[in-house]
Amino acid sequence: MGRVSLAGVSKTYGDPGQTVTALTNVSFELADGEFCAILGHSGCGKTTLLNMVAGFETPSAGIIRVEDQPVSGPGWERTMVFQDYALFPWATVRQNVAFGLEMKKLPADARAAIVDHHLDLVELTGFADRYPDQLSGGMRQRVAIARALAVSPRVLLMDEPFGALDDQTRRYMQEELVRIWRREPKTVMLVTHSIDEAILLADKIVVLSSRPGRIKQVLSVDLERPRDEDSPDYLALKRYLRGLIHAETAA
Amino acid sequence: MSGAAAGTAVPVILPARRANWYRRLKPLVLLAGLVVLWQLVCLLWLPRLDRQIAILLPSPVQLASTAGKLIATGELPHHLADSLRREAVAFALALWAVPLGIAMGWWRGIHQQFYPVVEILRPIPPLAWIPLSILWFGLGDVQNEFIIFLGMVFPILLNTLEGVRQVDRNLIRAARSLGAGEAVLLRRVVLKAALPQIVTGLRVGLGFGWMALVAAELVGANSGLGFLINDARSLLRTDIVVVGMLAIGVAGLTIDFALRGLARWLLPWSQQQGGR
Repeated sequence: MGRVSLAGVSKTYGDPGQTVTALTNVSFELADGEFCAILGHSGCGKTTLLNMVAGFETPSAGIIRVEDQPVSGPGWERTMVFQDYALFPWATVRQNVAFGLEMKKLPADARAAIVDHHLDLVELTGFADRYPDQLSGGMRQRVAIARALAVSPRVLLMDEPFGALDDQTRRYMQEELVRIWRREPKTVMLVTHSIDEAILLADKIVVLSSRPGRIKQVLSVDLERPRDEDSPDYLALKRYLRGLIHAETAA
Repeated sequence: MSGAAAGTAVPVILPARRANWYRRLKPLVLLAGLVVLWQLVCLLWLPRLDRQIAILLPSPVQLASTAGKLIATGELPHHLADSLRREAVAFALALWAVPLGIAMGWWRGIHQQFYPVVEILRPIPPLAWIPLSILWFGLGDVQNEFIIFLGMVFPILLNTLEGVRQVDRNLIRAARSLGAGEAVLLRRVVLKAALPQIVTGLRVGLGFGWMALVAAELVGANSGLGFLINDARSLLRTDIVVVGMLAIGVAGLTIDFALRGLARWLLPWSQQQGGR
């Protein structure tokens, strides 16, 4: 349902002769239902990569496919959860979650059932009629997740989704995300600069180097869920990734 | 008598009520003091100074009596209604600045073409159009409405334009990836997101229009509050002049209040709109 493949994807900005290369020759594949973290420093082009998968930006070279269909623009099969939530402030929680379903022209009763299901999934049933301004950061991000999942996308894209949250809330939301993902398995691409977040959440970690962004390594995380941050395997992987990223900073 | 039952309740309610009145009236102490001072100056000081000068500053009591008469004869309501009607007609026309502003904010090509036109016309004060507009339209409603329209259209246009340009890019992206097409995007996301700024533009526009209205009526009308005060000037009826000025102020304030109410109704999610 949600296979993703990137083949030779590059992105350059600027006018000819004065270009800046953001990403160069990025290729990897994700299986259906795989949870992938894109890990790298700020400026490594990881958000650009996500924006191209979402269809907000077009690659300068290479091709991105979802289920063998080339990506040519934004669409409901690839929905995004933004760091700043990007909820519609004029709409209630329920209206926010229902937005994509209205765009799909679902009848009202089917819409209501799907919205209720997703509000239940993110545990916000009692907050359906609140406005985003009346919610905490963690709750807003749960609304954003519900809104993105409600249209049944093939791929869920997350751009540093917990970056604006305090440490405690971030921990809680990471656990929540894993719980939600296990109940509704989806291919997930999550951009992060946090090594811990990548290890805690992902099946596969794509490590990007900076300027220009290119793949440094793609590695699988074969740790039992829920993941134990104190286990030797976890710590070994963390040390390895830190070395990989640190070498980058030194270079 | 019902007084017995109510009487027992009075000691409980009264202190709270008093405190409430006190809080409400407290900001008006200086204002009330100034009015009293004004009255005393008119009553005691000015007549001793010079009888001619006394005419130039009518007292608050005299104003109240003049206002009462002007309302009773229907003269003030008649002029007020004419002014409000001109403001309303001009506002209805100036509302076209909203779709134009949205289009300019959204489509680069439209912005490119319209912006130079706007930038050339905008710095010309509406009042500078009065002589030409009198030649074009003669004295009367159309000329007045034209001047008011010019006062309104630029604040509305530029606020709308700015509101659209400042729409959070991620809101647009979110809507697009959820399947919104261009028309839906404009109507349900861009318009909504820009609405607080558009409403600010409407408020500023109505205020500018009201100022331009009075100026237009001073020279180019035979009714309206601007006409009323200018006409009274030639008869040395300073009391009518000041009552007219106060009516202009109160009406302007009422329009702004009404629009703030509209903002609260249109923008229930945006708390700061009502308060500003």
